Amino acid sequence: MRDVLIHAYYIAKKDLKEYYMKPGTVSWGILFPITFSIAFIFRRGAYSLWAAPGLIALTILFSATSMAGASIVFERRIGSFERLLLFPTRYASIALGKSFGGLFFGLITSLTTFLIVYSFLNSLPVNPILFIVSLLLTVFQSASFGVLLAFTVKDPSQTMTVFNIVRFPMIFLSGVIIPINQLPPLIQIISYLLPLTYSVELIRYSYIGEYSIINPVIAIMVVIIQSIVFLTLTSILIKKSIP
Amino acid sequence: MTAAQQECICRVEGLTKDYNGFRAVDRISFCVRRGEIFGFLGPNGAGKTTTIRMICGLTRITRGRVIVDGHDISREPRTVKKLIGVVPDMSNLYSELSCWDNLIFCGEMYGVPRDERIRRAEELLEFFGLARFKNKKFKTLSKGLKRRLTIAAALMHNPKILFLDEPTLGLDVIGKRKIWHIIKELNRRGVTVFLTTHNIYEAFKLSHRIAIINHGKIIAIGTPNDLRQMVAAEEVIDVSFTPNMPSLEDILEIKGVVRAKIVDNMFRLIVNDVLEALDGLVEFARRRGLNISLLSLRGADSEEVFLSLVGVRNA
Repeated sequence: MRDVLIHAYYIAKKDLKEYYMKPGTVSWGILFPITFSIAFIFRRGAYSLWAAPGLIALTILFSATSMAGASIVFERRIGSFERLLLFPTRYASIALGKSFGGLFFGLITSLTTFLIVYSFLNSLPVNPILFIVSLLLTVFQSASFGVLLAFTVKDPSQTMTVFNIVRFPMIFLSGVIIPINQLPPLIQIISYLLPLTYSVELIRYSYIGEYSIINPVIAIMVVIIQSIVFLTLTSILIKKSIP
Repeated sequence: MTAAQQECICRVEGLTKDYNGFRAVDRISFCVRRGEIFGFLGPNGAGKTTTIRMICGLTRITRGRVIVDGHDISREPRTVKKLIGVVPDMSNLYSELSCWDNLIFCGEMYGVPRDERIRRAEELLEFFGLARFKNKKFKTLSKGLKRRLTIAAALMHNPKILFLDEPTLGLDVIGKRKIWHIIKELNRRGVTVFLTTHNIYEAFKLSHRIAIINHGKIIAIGTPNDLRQMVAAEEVIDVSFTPNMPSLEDILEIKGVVRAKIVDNMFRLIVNDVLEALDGLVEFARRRGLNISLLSLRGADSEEVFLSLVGVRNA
């Protein structure tokens, strides 16, 4: 386990040096979510406090998945991903390392969004410790989701398209801007299947003390389980990628 | 275990690879001896890269096994990966990282202790003539320098055997010679080298022993001299005619001519009976009313040995 974590740390450190300024990472990982958050806060006025936690979760989803996705897709395209397979390391280290890069990046951009939200709304989370835990869990969940998503893309040039096909519906179906309990019952079933739903509910509870349909304890458990499942599936996909 | 097996650092037994019904590598067996440069020579698509990828754990083995220093790659992949250094056929280090950061990252991933990896990276940059490029990003290096750094990265953990897949592919003459010098020097310092190449001259110049692979099968194995002796009966006649040159097809009809090609406006004939071929040439010229304006005779060179072994008739 120690080796897995050490190798994951080295991979993440390398990825941050290599990819944090790539255009896809900057535009989809930083500019889009932050611009979206500011625009939404301006437009919705008093309703913004309810929406703010969802916007933070959305920022995390976009930044962490973009970073994790960019590194894998770029390396697969130029052939340097194979280098990782030549090292005496476990597939889990590679999956975890790629997630750590997204985790760090997601954390930075989510804190930036939080500061924007705070400077406009002048409101602090009602449960700061749970808020920090929620952010960390959400960042980890999003990063591992991004890594898994990147491995399922067959054609690297289609990565951002595939990523956005998956990410954009979550803006409307995961309770970011519309409360889930106000969605039609059939649509609510879809909401339960989306990872962002649980992180939005969790962050919202820690920030304003209320949630829509998912109890925070269940949300924490689901976010942790999803992260582990995403990483396990990624490890399996890496192994299966060997011809 | 016999003495011969003991000196094997890498033993390949009945190695086979099937891709959707196509057999890319067909039951090949060989042994790489500790301290040697082992050339793995074959035309494009012969199965060289598939073989090296199976040995390094990048491609699954359909059948057979690979033992490196006593460890089976299928059963102990991580142990084997610690023992080997691999240089793929393309220079695929991390483009945004500096030469230094690339080497340090490789050292980290191989578990080289901090002080050791700093010392090793400095040593390798010096040895490969890259010290002044230490802080340059990998993407800014020339093709030759990229190749050198890729080899250096494979040596960060002091591997017992270095696998080089087409190390001079796409390099100019100076770049090639620099890499050849590096390979020889590394071997002189005790590194066992497994070299895959389609460059016949390179294989014969560098290798202590060579295995020739074609259509996924090993067709010959031995020292460069052993391979030459396998086709020792073959000699080369360079011949030119005036006032006009006959066709290649006509030349191939001459008795004793095994293969023929046109080189620098003359025919290069590979023959297995010189006297018969010379008789045939004279008779051929007389019959066609031609004069022989140039004629020279010598033993087969490495290229001709290779072509003879892979059975190419008029390349």
